[in-house]
Amino acid sequence: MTIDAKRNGLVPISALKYLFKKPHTVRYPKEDLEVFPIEGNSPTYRGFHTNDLEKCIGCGNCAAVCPASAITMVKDENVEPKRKFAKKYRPIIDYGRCCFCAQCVDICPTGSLQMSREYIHTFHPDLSIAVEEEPETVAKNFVWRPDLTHSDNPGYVRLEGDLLNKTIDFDRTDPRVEPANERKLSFAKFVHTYSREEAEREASRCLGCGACVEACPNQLHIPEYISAIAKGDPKESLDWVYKRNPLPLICGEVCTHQCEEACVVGIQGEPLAIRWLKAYSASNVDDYREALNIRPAKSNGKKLAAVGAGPASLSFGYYAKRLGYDVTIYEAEKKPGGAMMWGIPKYRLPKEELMKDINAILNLGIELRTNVRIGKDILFGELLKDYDAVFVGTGNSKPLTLRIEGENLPGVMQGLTFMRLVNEEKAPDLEGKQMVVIGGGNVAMDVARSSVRLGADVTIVYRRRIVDMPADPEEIREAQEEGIRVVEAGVPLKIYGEKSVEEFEYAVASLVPDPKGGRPRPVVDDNSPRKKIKADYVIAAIGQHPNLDFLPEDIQKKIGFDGKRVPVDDYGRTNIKGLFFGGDLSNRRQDIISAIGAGQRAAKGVDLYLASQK
Amino acid sequence: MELRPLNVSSKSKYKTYELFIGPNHPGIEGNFSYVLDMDGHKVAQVTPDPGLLHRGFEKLMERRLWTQNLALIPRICVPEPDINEVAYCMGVEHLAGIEVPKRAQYIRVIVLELARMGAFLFGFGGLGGATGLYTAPNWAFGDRDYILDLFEWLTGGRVYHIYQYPGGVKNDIPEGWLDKLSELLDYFESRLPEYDKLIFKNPIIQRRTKGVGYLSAEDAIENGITGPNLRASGVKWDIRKAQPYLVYDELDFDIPITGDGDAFARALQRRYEMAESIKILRQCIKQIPDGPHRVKIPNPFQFRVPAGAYYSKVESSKGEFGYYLVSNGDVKPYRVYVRGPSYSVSLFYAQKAMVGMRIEDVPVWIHTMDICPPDFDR
Repeated sequence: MTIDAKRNGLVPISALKYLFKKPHTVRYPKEDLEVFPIEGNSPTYRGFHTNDLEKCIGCGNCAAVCPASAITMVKDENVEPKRKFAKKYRPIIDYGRCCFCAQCVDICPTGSLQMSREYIHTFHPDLSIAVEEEPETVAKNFVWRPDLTHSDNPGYVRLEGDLLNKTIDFDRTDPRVEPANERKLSFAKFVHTYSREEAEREASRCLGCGACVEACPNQLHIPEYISAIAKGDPKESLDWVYKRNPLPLICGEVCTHQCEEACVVGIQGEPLAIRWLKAYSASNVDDYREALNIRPAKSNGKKLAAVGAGPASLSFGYYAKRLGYDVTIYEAEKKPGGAMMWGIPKYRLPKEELMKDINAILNLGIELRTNVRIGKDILFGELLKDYDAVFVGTGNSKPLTLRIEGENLPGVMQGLTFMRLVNEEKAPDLEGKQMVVIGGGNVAMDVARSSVRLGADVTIVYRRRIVDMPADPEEIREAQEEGIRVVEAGVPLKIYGEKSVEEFEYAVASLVPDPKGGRPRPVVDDNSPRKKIKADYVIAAIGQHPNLDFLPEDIQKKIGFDGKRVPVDDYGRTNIKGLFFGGDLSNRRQDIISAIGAGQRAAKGVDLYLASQK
Repeated sequence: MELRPLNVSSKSKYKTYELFIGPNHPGIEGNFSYVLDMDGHKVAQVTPDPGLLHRGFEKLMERRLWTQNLALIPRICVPEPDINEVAYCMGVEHLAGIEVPKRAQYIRVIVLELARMGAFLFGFGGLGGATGLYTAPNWAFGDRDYILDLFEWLTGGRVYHIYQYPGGVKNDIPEGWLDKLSELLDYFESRLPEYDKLIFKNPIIQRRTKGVGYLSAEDAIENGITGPNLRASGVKWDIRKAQPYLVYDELDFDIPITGDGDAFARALQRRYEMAESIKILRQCIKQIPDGPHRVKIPNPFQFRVPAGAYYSKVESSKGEFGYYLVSNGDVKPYRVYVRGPSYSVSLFYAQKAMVGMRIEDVPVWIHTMDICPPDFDR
């Protein structure tokens, strides 16, 4: 071997020379370690925490991941979070338990929680306090809320660019999407449902913090259903969805997905595809009733009527049926679904997917009477008399008109009217036609993209900027990919034409910023430039209002209908006993999931009302 | 157990008696102790008392997420915590089928070898403590602090690094760290001859250790003894060579064998292996490739390890250190079993080995066997 381990009594004495050498020990703070590039302890030291209280969103992931249970979330009304869906909870750390492992820092989705290089903490207990009270004093001095004032000496940090070192997976697994030039040729669904592998990979990015639940208009059990997918059980997942949403596949395809805006993974990366995951679990269960073992409760003999077979009434019917009521839904058209049937194009929601959800509800024993127009075939007063309670969910069916010159020319249509023609497959041949769509909402996008599929050359004219459009950003992006031009700040002025539409004139408005920080206001004056574009069709998709003509006027007055909305309370109750409203005609947000929520709450309201009637 | 301080015999008052070594005794860590039945100066019977602190690591792990456990397990072995992290991560990666990037594997080897050196320095120091040469622990613990400084820079913590993560390591090596490591290795190379002079050529140490606690190769294998203790008895067995893990098969190093099987050989064995560790680290600094230091795995709340069982092991400074992981496919382990190298030595072989030994040789035996009570109270 290399060393000579021969006994030598003198050599150990040579160690004496170290008496005169520089000692190992560092006389802190006079001296400093010369190891690190900065003075003091290491640049990545895991000391006491700091937390940017404004950046923190109170999601509680740090508390959930803490292996020492040292973190509790405590509400503070004084913190003012910057983000839309942030909560007012902030982490409080018990340093009697903290083991400084930094797993909380690794998982913090905003990067607000960091660790500093501070590690010395002393306090002077009041010596006069009783011994029994000492533990309390000690506890008080070792439990505190970290904030930026505590330390300006960052140690172990995970900066925003440091995504690889975080324990969150920020990269979204996108579903397969047909390329723009192919999808614009047909009405076939172009976003493919996740495969099992893709769904599980995407679901496994969920932190389970539930920030999405509060953003959802009907507070679905989102973390639970995503977790079930990650476990590989779409049936359990659908069970969770069904507790608060009986139209899972429809919402899985076309929901406005507020939840994804709130998703904490989206703060530094891409949010979870919550909507597509719901579509995955719904499309992987063939028969909802069979798989989820859904049974109606024993009939209690009470009869309910719902007017309009849209999402609000279907949800109302489903939850009321499960409470034991006999429900009859009246629908003026020949098919149920309302706006989902006649408004949403097939490339977003194929009709068989729509009918799968609706049939699952109707098969529960709910009577659907189509082609019955209330107010004409049956008077509304009769309904009120014949049924124990009546729910109205007829939605917004009266489109707004442009109120400009030339709008009565053939070739000018309202968005919903056009979509109905498209869905009935009665739309005119648009091959090579010039088309102008006015509006920036989802209906405008549906009209424009359907027209592209019918062969038209489409221009969208919107009075504000693209970023201000109320439509889903991905709808706008996909529309542009399909070759649709968007004109910003365009205010319609006049439609020219002899027998039909020939030209469309608009003014380029100047946008006045809103002092409150809202969307800018378009202003048109005499100096605004005017432009004309050739047009064979002009479609106005600028919103719609409820049509309550089927109600007698005294009822309209009594419930306080102002032409736009019916005021209701949380349970959909109106001023008339036994009359409930829900869906777009009373909701603040006008989308399917809000309507489902209104229907579910109204079913509860009906139950409360009829229980108190006895 | 009822305390019987002395067993009075008929002939002499102190002919036979009962003696406690530990807890809190030079040479013993934790709550572990030996109850020695003495016959004069000689040990007649040995009863190990594991202390039964019931730290319950294995049970605690079943209640925590797979990655949460990484904050817990370094505490199983205090002098060399990284072996826990690496063995655990390697097991999880095997079950989940995760491929670890080359750079991460090199970083793991660097961490393991540095930790091994730190643990060996503990060993030198301990030998000094057991024989009365207190300069040795002062030197060794001081030098070990330089290793801890580097760990602090790399991981943010001095002793419990919590640095490994399934799929790699938590963060990349900071800029300038490898240069500092290189400087440290130069320093250690200059220090090793000093240690030789102070400890290994020292006639007193040699007299106290040579021929003490002889362990034959057959006995070592029979009693499940691994690591430097086994090699000091002349058996060439090292997991790093025999069943290479990480990138040990890309590194050129020897397995030194002393072979005498006594306490001196065991101490000297560690001194040789320290030189090999320096050699390995130098190669790592030269060969470490660029690239990612980890691959992404699902977040802690959704990280499900596929059902199965796997025994992953590493060569620690004491011998084979292993984790037997059982998963039922959930976010938490179903069962984890920790195999520490001291388990068979200190609880079973000690009952045989120490019989007939003089009382002053007991701490020397304990120390050169590098007994670490956390290995069996886990």
